[in-house]
Amino acid sequence: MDVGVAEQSRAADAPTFEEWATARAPALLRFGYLLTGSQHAAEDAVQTALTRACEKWGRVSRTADPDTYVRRMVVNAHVSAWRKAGRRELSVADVRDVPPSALHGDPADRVATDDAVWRMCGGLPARPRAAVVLRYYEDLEYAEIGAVLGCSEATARSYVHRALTALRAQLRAGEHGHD
Amino acid sequence: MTEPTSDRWSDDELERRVRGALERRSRMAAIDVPVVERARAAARRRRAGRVSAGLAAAAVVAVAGVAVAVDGDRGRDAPRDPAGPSTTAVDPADTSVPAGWRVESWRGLEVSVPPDWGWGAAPIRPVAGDDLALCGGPGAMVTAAGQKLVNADASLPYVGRPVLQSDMCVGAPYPQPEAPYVWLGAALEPGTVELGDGYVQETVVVGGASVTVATADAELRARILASATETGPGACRAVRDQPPPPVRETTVEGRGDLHVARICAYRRLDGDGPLDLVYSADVAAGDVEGTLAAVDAAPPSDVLCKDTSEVVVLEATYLDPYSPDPDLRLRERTVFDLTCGHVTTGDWFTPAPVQRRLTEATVRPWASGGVGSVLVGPSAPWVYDYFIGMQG
Repeated sequence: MDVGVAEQSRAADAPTFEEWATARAPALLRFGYLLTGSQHAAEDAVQTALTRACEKWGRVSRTADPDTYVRRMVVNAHVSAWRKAGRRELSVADVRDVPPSALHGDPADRVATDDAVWRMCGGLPARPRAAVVLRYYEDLEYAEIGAVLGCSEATARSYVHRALTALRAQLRAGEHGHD
Repeated sequence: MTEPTSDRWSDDELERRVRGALERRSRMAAIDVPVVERARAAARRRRAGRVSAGLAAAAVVAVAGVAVAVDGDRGRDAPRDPAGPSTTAVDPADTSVPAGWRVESWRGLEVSVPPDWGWGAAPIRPVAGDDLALCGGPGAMVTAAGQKLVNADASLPYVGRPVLQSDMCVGAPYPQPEAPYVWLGAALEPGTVELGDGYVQETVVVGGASVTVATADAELRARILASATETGPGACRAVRDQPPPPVRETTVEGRGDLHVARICAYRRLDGDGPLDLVYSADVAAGDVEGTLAAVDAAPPSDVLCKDTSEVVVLEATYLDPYSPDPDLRLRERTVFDLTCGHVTTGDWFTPAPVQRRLTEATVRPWASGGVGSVLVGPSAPWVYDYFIGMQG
């Protein structure tokens, strides 16, 4: 097929911004919430990304993977906000009720681990935190994480490795505290 | 990454716990939020704001009884006509990018400008915490043809970046502009400022970076601002922690014609921070071949130096006419370390990169245009012909 014909065919099949964004907004908000640690900051980051995607939809929709492109915008919006705040303003995690459907297994153990994970995330700078969320929530490969964050695969791997090391130390300390 | 552990917190177990914790936590996010509607409304407001800003500026020009038009060839403000406003109809809502405009990059931001604009400075803080100042200019320090100027030419339109280009700094208020300019990444608040004489300076933020356009031509301003976008797929990477490894790919049959080539120029803007993209430009096939020939002819270098602050990456891709896959490209990536004074290339026969000395011949083919206004360059007597060079 001629390249021009292929482009036209792809453009004709592409969803409108409204269709795409309506379908993806819930997932983006969940992603943004993990990334920022706050509902308010998540909405800001997602809205900023969607505004830009809306303005440039003709171009964004032609990319091979609009999801990745917009997810990167969400990360950039958050990292940028984090930098603008002089790296001083940490998002305060919202206190929200855990839905009953989220409770399975040993509640005490799980709650303790969940709390440790969330505190570990809260203690990370924006980019390492994004690497953790992209790896363990979005299931991206390290090369893909590097592409989203604009860093090397090795750096992405290092971000995640350090986060796990910190988490392990935190969990061990918690165990010893209970001994 | 697997770490042998004797306790229950193995990597696998930790990863499983993190996945579960994040999944459970994500369900706490409120998702019944009208972000799509808000985004659409914000996009509409931004478009309307740009159009009304254009109309307002046009009105100011009309009241002043002068005409402002875009010179199609130079893309700069034409001389004012005392006879009255121009009768040329312009559509302020038409913000499409004219053919032939070039793309300017700064970190994750891209902006299109007329092809005959030069390059210069944007305001910086020469001393941390001090007021903003223009260190170089006002005006172009490098012409669109790539000629480096000893003194800035205020009559030339230019693209300014917040980089110290001269130890002679001018504080605000800056002299009345004589030609339009675009500042990328300057520490200015979004908004509009009347500069007098019909000039309006407008600043918006795109992708976390500011874009400032000053011109008396509302249409020109609207077009440039509308072209501002975040770096798209396939562009130079906005940020790098370290210089990328060199690459040289070929086949036993050789490689085909050059498909595309560009330079991506980086510097550490925040001291020990990452390498930020400060400039990028396409490179012609002849210049790529000239560069690679010069690099291969340069003397070997065994300098051990890892603390670099300025890097230029020449990325080229070639067609592979012998591959059954017509989309397959062969990559050639050459890395110029301006701080350490060496060039690294890939090698066709061994996996180890080859390091050679950075010579004038290795930079001459590509070191023209805006790159000379953003990088200090190596410690070499020829540096001022191509780069900013040491100041003070």
